[in-house]
Amino acid sequence: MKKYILILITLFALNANAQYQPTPEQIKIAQQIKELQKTNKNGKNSKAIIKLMNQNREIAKNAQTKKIVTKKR
Amino acid sequence: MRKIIILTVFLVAFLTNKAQVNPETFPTVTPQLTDNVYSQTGGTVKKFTLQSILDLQDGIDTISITYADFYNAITNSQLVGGMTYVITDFQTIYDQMDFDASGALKPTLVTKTGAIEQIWVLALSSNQIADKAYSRTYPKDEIQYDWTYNATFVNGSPAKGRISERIDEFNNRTDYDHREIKFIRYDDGNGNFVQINDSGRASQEFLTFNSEFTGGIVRDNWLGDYYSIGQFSGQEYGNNVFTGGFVVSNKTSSLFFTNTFSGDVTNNTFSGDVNTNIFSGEVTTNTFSGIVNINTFSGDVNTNTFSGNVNTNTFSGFVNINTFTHTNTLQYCTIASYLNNKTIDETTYPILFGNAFKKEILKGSNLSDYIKTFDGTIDQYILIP
Repeated sequence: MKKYILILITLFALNANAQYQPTPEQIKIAQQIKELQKTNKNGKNSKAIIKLMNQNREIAKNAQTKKIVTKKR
Repeated sequence: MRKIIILTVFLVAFLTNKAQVNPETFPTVTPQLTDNVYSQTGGTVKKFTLQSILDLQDGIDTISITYADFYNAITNSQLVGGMTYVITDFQTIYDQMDFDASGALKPTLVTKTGAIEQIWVLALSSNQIADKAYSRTYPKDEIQYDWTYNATFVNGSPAKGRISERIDEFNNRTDYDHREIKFIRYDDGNGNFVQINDSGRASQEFLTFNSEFTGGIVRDNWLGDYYSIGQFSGQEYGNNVFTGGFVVSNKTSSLFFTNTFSGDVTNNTFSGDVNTNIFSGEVTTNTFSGIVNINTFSGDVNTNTFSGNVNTNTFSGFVNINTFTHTNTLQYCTIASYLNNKTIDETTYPILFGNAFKKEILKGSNLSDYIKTFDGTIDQYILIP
């Protein structure tokens, strides 16, 4: 019985924290953005930053579609 | 005579040497309030106690400072703990998001600068400030100030920190400066500036709570934190715009972004993902607990509960006091009727749910509601009694 309660509490806690979970690829891209920002004097990296942000937009969009399809099944 | 001169030189040299002291040789002690401090400036000698210095300090607990100097002081651990720093030249500076027709960020973004707002921050130690800050410009607002933001997100333009939370005098909360940050909306072809992606037509800029400071009733709205996840989903800020004049008591999660609400929006709880929607009518007393995305609600939508996925739908009429209960997704469905007091569930109307073909709910000339589909040969109509 205790085990089930523990599992339930864990699941509840996980759910509460599971607001947004980026994929490893999104995290990697976000790190690349951060690196570019460090040397972005006069906006010289701005085009590269936008390109990476658009990549993450695309991943987020696809993940959203996937989520909907998965839930549908 | 010569003797006198030698004696004089000796005395001068001796006395001068005696007057010079090396403070580095002084012993380190714990200071007492009654200890004296001595000074000699421009030939004027002074003596004062440590207590008198502290008394003087009590009267000076604020320092006016520019952002540049404040940044230097905090990064070099030179703040005085307990001192309030008045940042006199703070302005919200940001790269304004702008999306092309495909929904991607445009290759160049414009850096925008807001009005000067005096921010007061309290130093907790030499390199730390309190979370809460104060605005002299908007004294009724509660704000948090992020001093680390010294360059804009994309263009790297010099910034002066950012407001990372603002709860304004009407209790509207965002995780950015919603008094200054504006979002672009394009004309949808009918003179409505609701389109987020570039339509090739004219555009306008909107604050999140557009009518709040121009006479609208915009109260008690709480938008969740988005900034911390923005980098993962490819935009810096939430990009939500409420243009209605009556926007009250809405609460959203962090996954609430890229929405335009053009009508009144009141008493809603959006607990799931809600994105890329245009709500153009009144939307009142709803609970959206699932994923709701890529919708256009152009009519009044009130007292509804959407408990599942609701996506890629267009509600063009009044949609009120209905319950949509289902396991599979309600999608590709256009409600072009004043649908009222109906229960749309999956058992009764399975054709509406979980498939990827187009459905339409419409009102016939006999004023009955119908579900219209096309089977490849002819249109099919199902009566909603």
